[in-house]
Amino acid sequence: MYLSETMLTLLVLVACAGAALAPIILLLLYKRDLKDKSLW
Amino acid sequence: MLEAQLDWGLAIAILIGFGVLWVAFGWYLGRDNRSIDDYALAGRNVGFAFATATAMATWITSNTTLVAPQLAYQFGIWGMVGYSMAALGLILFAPMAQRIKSLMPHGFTSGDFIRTRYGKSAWAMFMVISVFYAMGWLVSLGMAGGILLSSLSDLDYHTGMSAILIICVLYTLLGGLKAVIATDFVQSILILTGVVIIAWVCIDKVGIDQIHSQVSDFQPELLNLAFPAAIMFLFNNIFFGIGEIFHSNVWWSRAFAFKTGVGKRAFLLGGLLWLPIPIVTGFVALAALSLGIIPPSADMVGPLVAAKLLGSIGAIFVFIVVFSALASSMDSLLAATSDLITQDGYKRLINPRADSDKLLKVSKRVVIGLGVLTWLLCLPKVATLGALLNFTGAFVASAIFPIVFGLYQPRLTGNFATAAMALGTVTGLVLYFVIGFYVAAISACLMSLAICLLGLWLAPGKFDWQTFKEPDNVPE
Repeated sequence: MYLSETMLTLLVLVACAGAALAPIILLLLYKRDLKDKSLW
Repeated sequence: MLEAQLDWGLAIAILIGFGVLWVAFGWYLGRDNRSIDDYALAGRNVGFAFATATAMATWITSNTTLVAPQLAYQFGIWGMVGYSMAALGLILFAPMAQRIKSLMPHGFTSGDFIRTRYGKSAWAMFMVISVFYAMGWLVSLGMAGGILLSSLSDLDYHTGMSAILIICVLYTLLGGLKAVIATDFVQSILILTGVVIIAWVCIDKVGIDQIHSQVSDFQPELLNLAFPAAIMFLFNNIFFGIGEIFHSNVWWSRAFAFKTGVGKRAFLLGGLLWLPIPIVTGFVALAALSLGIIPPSADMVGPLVAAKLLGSIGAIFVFIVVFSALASSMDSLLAATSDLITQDGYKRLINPRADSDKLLKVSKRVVIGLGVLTWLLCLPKVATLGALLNFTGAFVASAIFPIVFGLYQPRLTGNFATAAMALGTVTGLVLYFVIGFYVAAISACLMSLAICLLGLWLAPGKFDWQTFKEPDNVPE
């Protein structure tokens, strides 16, 4: 059983979307903690 | 080696620029450190944003950015998906982090836990595993620093290795865990941005359809979902990753340092954010065939593809991403191993009456000592880095079940926990040499589980969880 082009595309695009979202999520969390004065 | 290698001057400029930035940052964050709690555990009050970033960034090592592409190049789909399964270690540690914080709100190290829960013989066995693994990881990171920075630029091996060690030792020394965690946050943003840009350019310039058709025509095995060696690698990697995280003080020190209620959420989100990274970095390697790249060694396939796609800008990107990935793990390891040696070695065995000021001084000296020792061990350049870390797979995987049962099951006794770690390690090492690296962790883990279950059946004990709260087990 071999991975089809559709499945490879789906796997790569989902992974890239996840990796691209990660820094945005981290920066939003940072902004929230900074506002709440709960960084440390 | 690379057609778009950085010249010596630019590489040195990047190293000095980042070095000065990190060290100044470390000094700034460390200026309020007054006690060993501030220095070693960032005041035990780390918030959700920094906690998530440090969980993720510490787990992004040079291997994530270089071995994941190598595995995709050699094992195909299962190589990169198998590597991404190492995220399970972080995800499964999430509930344990909460349990650790509630059982030992004033704890310092994983060694503290093992000694209180199982006694001295288990603690001694555990310390052998912990220190062997920590030094193995430190040396492999130091060597990787030298090898990678010299492959990506005109720097020689010893300059690259020394630079990364000096920078990490300096800012860890000045700022303690606070500096480690804050730099992890910045490093995680740098790594993720660099990796996503390289993947995006790869999709734009080469195309997933082109990559799929080239691999299908010339190396169809890489797309085979029933590739036996790759599936074996996947399972071994899962147990190796879980063993690394469950036992290492790198992660326990974070469980102690995170604010109450933050540990579980931070490790869970950190694991989920880490999960796609090896797939993104691995996928880039599949483009090697379409780009006509034949790497001189498989671990250089990622940088070669990035350099081909982005030219000299790509080389700078890769250099910064690799440097950040190395630093984000090395600083954590220096800080956590220093805690382990200070608390479990110095305070436990040499000076039980040492106060916070004394421990703070000792901890800083240990950071310098670890840096010097790592530098000395890294002087001879050894190419088989993977072999060194895979060798530790047998050690760390044998600690998985003694720790899990130790946290949740009061009936497992110290004698059986010690036997589980010892016999698990021996089994893993024997099979490492008889069969191969890809069975060391899984066999060590299964043998250790069998001994633990035997202990629960033959000689159940009755540990009182309140023991962790007794004055003898709570640091002043």
